[in-house]
This record gives sequence, C-alpha cells and structure tokens, in this order.
Amino acid sequence: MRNGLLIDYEFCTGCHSCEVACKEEHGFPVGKGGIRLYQDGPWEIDGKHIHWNKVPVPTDLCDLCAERTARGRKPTCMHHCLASCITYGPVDELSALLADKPRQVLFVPDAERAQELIPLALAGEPVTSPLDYLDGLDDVPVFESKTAGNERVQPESVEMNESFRVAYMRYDVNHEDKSDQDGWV
Amino acid sequence: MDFTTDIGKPWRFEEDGLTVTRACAWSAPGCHPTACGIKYYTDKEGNLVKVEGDENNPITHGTLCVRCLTLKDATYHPQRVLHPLKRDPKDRGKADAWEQITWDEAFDLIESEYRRITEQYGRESVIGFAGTGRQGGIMMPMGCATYGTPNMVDGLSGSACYMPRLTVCSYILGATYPEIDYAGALPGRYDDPAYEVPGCIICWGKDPLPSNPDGLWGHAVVELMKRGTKIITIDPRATWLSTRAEYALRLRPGTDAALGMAMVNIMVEEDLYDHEFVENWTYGFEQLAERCAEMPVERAAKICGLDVEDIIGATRLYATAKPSSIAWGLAIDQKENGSQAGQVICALMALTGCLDAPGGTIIGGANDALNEVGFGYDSMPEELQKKLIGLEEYPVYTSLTLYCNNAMALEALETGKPYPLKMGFYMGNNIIACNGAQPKRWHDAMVKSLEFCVGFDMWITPSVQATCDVMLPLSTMAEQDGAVFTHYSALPVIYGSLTKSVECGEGMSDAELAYYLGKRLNPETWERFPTCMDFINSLRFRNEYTHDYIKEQVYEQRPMSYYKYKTGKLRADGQPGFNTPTGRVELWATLYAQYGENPLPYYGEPRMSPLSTPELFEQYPLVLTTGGRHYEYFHSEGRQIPYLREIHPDPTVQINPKDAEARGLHQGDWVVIENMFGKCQMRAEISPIVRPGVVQADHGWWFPEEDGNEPHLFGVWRSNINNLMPVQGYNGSFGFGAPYKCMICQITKGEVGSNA
Repeated sequence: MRNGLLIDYEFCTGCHSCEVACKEEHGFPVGKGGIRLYQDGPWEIDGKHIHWNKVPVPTDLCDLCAERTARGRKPTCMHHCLASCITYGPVDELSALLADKPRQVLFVPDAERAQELIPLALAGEPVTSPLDYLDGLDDVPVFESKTAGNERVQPESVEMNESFRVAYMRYDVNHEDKSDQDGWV
Repeated sequence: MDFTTDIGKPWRFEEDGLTVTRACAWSAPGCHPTACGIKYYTDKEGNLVKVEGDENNPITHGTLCVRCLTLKDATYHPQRVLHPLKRDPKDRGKADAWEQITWDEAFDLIESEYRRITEQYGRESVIGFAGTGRQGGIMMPMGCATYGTPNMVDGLSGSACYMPRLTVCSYILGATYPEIDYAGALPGRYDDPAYEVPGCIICWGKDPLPSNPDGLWGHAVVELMKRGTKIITIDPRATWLSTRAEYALRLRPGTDAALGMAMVNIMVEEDLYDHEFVENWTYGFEQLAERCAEMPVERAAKICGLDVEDIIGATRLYATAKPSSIAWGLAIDQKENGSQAGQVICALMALTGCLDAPGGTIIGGANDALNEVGFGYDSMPEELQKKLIGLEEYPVYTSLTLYCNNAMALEALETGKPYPLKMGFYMGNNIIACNGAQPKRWHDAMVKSLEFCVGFDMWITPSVQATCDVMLPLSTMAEQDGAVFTHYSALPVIYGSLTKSVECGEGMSDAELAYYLGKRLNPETWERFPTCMDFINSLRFRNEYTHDYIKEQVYEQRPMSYYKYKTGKLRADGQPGFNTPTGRVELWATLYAQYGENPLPYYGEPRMSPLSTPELFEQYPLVLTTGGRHYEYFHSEGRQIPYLREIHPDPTVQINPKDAEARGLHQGDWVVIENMFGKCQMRAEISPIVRPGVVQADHGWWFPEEDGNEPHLFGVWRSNINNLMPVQGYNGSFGFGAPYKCMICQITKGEVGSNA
C-alpha cells in the first residue's frame, strides 16, 4: 500500500516548519530537502482581491520519514506543521478525504526511490575547483587544421563524386566546376 | 490513521539511548513567549542531539516554529560565545582583541569598575539597554536590583513597542494586556463548555502568524478560522491572512485612528453597540459618540484610502458576529497618533459587550501582572528612584514603563545632561542593529560616554562589538532551569518550565546573572534569596508554585475566569468594576485629561506625510512602513543560522509593481531607500503586497558572516532601516510612539557604497 501526504492548502500559512523539520531530521545541507514550500502569489485578482496560496511539495528526497513511520510516528513535517495542514496516511484513505473540502492536494512521493537518493544528497563535498578534473592532462594537442584558416587547400587529388558535389559543394565558389550547373537535380 | 505519540509521557524519559526532556520554550533564543512545548533529546554527555515539539502542550500540541527547530544549530554555532571575554576599552570595536577569562575574573572586573564609576558618578550613571522577547530584556530586575540604577532604556524612539498600548489600556480598561480569547487556559480548549468560538476577529496592525506578538500563538487564529471564525485584517499590506479575510482594510499607514473613529460612529448610528454594557460599565459614551461623529465614514474613507462599503461592512460584521474580538498589534504604537488609535480600539473592544466575555477580548485580573523591567524599582532608595531620566518631563511615559525617556537618555549619553551616564550593560538588546532610531547617534554616544560596558548574549552582535568591554555568555533555553509564562504573565494562560537538559559552554541564564552578579554588586537586595532558585520561584511563580513542581508538570494552565468586572476580580479592592479611576471603561479618559491630554480620540496626520509635508513628499514620495515580520527571524536574531538564512537571505523592501516600473526596478535589484535622516540598501521585492505609494522594509539586519571590526561592524549600517527614523521630534502623546510605520522616503536603484 502506498502512502502519501494530503495537503490542505487553504490553510498552509507558509511557516517553513515542514522544510526545516525535514532538514533537521535527515541532516540535509542548505539547498536540499525533502519538502519545499512553494508560493503562488501575491498577485492581484482585482483591485481588492489578492491571490496567495502556499503549498508544501514533497521532493524526490521525501522518504515519508520511513524511520519514523516504522515506529508508528508521524512524519516530522506533519508533526511540526503549525497550521496542521499536512496529513500522512495510506493513499486510499487520504484520497477519500479529498472530497471533503476544496483546496486540497494529495502528493504521493516515491519513498522507495528517495531512500536511494538521500545518501547521495548527504554525501560528498563539491569539487573545490570546477576544473579539477583536468589535472594530469598535459599531452592533449591544440587543434590545428590546414583547412581551418583563410588559406584553403584544394583537394586536387581527390576524385569528386558527383552526387557529393551536387549535395555539398554546389555553392562553393572556389571550386572549379567541371560539370553541368543547371539547377536542381 | 493512528499514530504513536509521547502524550502522557513523564517530563523526562529514555528513548533509544537518548534522554528526552519535555519542557517549554523561551529565551535564548528569544521570542514573545507562548510557552510552546518542546522536547530535548540529549546524550549521556549532555549534548543536544535533536529537538521536537511536545504533543502534550495544550496550545501548540507538538508543533514548533523554525527558530526552535534550529535550536541545535544555534547552540553549537561556531560564532556562539561560550565563555566570558574581556577586551581593553581602548580596543573597542576590534574583533580579535577579545580574550577569554573566567567568571570570577569577569565578576571582579565588573565589580571594580562598577564601584569606581558609581562612587564617582552615582549609581544613576549606570544604564541598561533593554531588549524584548528575552528574559533579561523586560522580565528581570537586572537594572534596579542587580545594578541598582533607575535607568533602563529600550532604544526605541517613543518606546514605540507595546508601551504606548500598555498606557492606553491601563488608563482606558484598567488592564495591561487585552487579547483575543483563544481558550488558552481552558482545559477543554476550543471545546471547553465555558468557551464560545468567536464569530469575528479583527487583526489590527498585527500579523499574528509570523509574529506571535506578546505570546499569542498566532496559529490559534487559523485553528479558529477552521472552526468558522471570520477575519478582518486592518493592515496597509496584504498578508496571507488578509487573503482569507472577509475584509482586508488596507489603510494608508498612520491613519488608524480615523478608521477607528468612523467604526465607532457606525456602531452608534446603526445602534449596533451593547446598551447594557455601555450603560452599566462605561464612562463618557455620549462624549465619545459626539467626538466620533466628527469622523463620518466618508471622511475616514478618504483619509485612509478605503472604500466606504468596506468600512461599513467590516464594522457591521464585527458588531454583529459575536462574540467578537480585536487583536491589536505593534503598528498601533509605531505612529505619532497611536495613543488615540489605541484609545478608540479599546472603545471598540468594549462597545460590543464582549470585553472579558467568552470568545471576546479578554483581560488579566488584579492578580495577573506584567513583570516590568522596573521590577525591583521599589528596592531602591526614593532619591535614586527620582533620578530616572525623564521622570519629571514625561511622567506618564516613565512612571508606567519605568524606562527612561528614550530621547533624553540618548541626550544624556551625548551631552552628559542631566548627568553623565558612564557604565552600560545589555539586557537582551541589540540597539544599533535592531531598534535604535538614528543608530549612528546611539553608537557614537555610547562609545564616547560609557567608560565600561557589559555585553551578555549568545553572539557578539554589532552593538556588543562596538560598545562592550566584557562579554558574558548566555545560556539557551535548554541550558537553564527557569520559568516562562504566556503573554509575559499579563493574561493567565500557561506557566511553563524551562528545564536544564543540555551542557554547553559556561553560560548563565538571565536569572542567574541577575542573581549572582546582584549578590556581588548589591548584596542587601539579594540576601533574602538563599539560592538562585528561591529567587526564580519568588519572581516567576510568586511562590504559588516551585520550579520543581512545574518542571514535573512541564506546564500548568492557570486559573482564569470571565466577566471579572462583575465578580470583583479586576480590582485590588475586590469591588466589581474596572481598575480605572471611575471603575468603568473610560471612553472619556480621566487620566488623559489629568495629564493635559485630550481625553477623547482624535485623528492627526503623521507629521511627515503626503498631506502634512507636501513639498518634502515631492522629494520623498513614498510612504514607508517597516518591520514586517518573518517566521525565520526574531528581530535581529537568526541571521547566522544556515537553515533560517536560506529562507530569507537578504534584507528586502516590498514595493508595488507600478512604483517599481516608474523607477526601472526589477525583482531582486538592490535599491537605496532614503529620506532626510539617512539611507540604506535592500533588495526590491516587487509585489502587490503593498499598494502603490507605500513601501515596507525589513528591520534588524546585520551580517554575522562579514567583518566585525569597526567601522564595518558586520555591515550593520548598510541595510539598517532605522537610519531613516528620527529619535525625537516625531513622538506622540505622553512622549510615546514614533513613526516607524509611517515615514516617507524615496527609492532608487543602486547601493549605498562601500563605506557602509
């Protein structure tokens, strides 16, 4: 049975407790997390009405607090949400609740995949210089080509295949055209 | 789905090799205390491994804000001060000149300087810088009883934070703290038989969700909304809450008194007030009605920039969807006209008859007290009490707050008049970064005049860096035994335990410093407390409880009752009525009249405004409000905590798209905010959250990651909105109030330059 997070975004006040509780629980560094608060607004519906919804969205690092739920505990985002707008549970139970009121959304994170991604998110410092990977390469030649510059080398010794010439060298003004040049073939 | 919880667990238990301690949260880090439930998970060495919310707490039931969630990150932050430090006064401002000392050395140094300075200049030459949201700031007898001086100052022009409202409601209602009733002290909470869910709440100049001012757990408003309460917001900005409100009255900053008078007028004209309450329990109704008739709704609509139908609709909703209540906020204080705005709001609280009624606006009783900074004032000899700076010139201001008049304290530091101030100490304040108007003046005056100054905090703040010679380490909430009460005790909700669970560094709590240093500097005053805990039990629990008891309970809901004006519980003499000179709610304020102030509300434009100063307004054509709150920061706290800084990395000013377009601004541009007093830079957040012509700027910014040395001081001057705020000349009645939320400014793209 798959589990999910039901969000009542009529009442998400954007307090960030879900984000920070998740980071603290898992030890995510700055810039990464298992749930992210998005906001749509403020923008004007009209001169008097402002649109402003905030919605916490579980990321691909959300494992639905597997360690906590295994002990029967609430996921930490649900536990700490100041507006009590996050509910964890089986998808079939939560989807039945969607009918109860508007402005809800049910997220079903891939909690199993998150368990693979989380160690990656937690491990490893970034390289100190972005070009560290070039260290040790001292035998790479610089590009050179006889045909690259203003001087062109005519391929005199090359037999010109007519089909090739028509397709690719038709408009080469330097090429001495020994064939018929009468337009489309 | 059922969950395993810690409901019913004892105050301390073991789990998976860790000790779990259930406690209530408060100071340090600071906030306005609700007494949120918190669980500390510690290992055998006393290290804090993690923090969670305590499900048992009746108000917060397991939830926790980001500032408590990151307690571990603050506790072990590399910049946190863990040991006493000293620095030669001639090296003030040098970040690397601090050297570690022992507590004994620190106390010896403080005592010897204290004796030297007070012998030469008197005890009144010592001044405390009092902050808010911290135990030491406003809840400790640190000033009067430890340092034995009458002089404490909050650094706010016009003491424009709660103090103006404190005076208004003390004089009008005879109570120190009216608040919406959210069933905080009722065992059954919202379902308690004594409670009634409000039909309507007005959030007036208050954005309770991120700010939780004075201990109101802001999300109780959301819980009430889910139970059907309708919201009216009165705020120049749109907020998330205003988008869920029935009416969002986005008035021009500074015009609240006009709106309030119009609302009273509507209630009178449409006969929507509670006759029984007005006749039996108020004084001066006819006079109030007559005065408010001078502000008909059409006139208020023009002054405030609102629609007539909205003002009428909001008033009718508030007056009829009873019980109804008003949450009044800081914005009331941060204008010159605040004492009048507050006065008319108190009248609106009363006119519905819902004052101290279930689901209405409730007030504390005779036995509920707001522990002021002046606790211990009476322990000083009378001649010393009389030396409080400003006592004669601003009697209302000083005698109610027991703070110095702010401008006069600064002048004393600058000029030595009426007498020199030579020693300073910090009580949870970060004056040059957070609250001081014209902060450079404060900086220069303190550096020049204070021969010795003691800092006491978790961090070397810009204020400490610039002005201090000794720095004492402050314990977090988890490193001390102590007490917390919702609303600073002014309204009974919870008594909670701060329970020592963590060993880290050598910090003391505010209570411990007050006690131990007090015993050194002023032994006679402290003799009566054999131990520090005796002091805490006496000060905090008034010997009704002991910390040992509350620790094991973790929290205790306090006894409360409704309609105290009928049962005699508001007055010390036990008589029915309100604790005012007339025993009634004074719609005509006898004490205002006594002090030469207009006893009825009136509207007056901010002294700097489009109407008051049209020529200046051409130069500075935007109305400036400041200090909008964020979940991640409490005032100047939190900038060094990575998870918090990630949420809001830069100081921002909110500007309407029309004003931004006119100035060629794009989202995220650095802009200079400037007026006749000074300037600063912030990032532009372009949004209809403010109406055209109004901008809103962050406060409290400094940059702990930057160079702490003078003159840079962690970049404290660069984005300090208070550079634009005047210390004096723009205060309100009794010397209270200042235009932190209704100044004028101009905004242009750019930066202030590298010297900032």
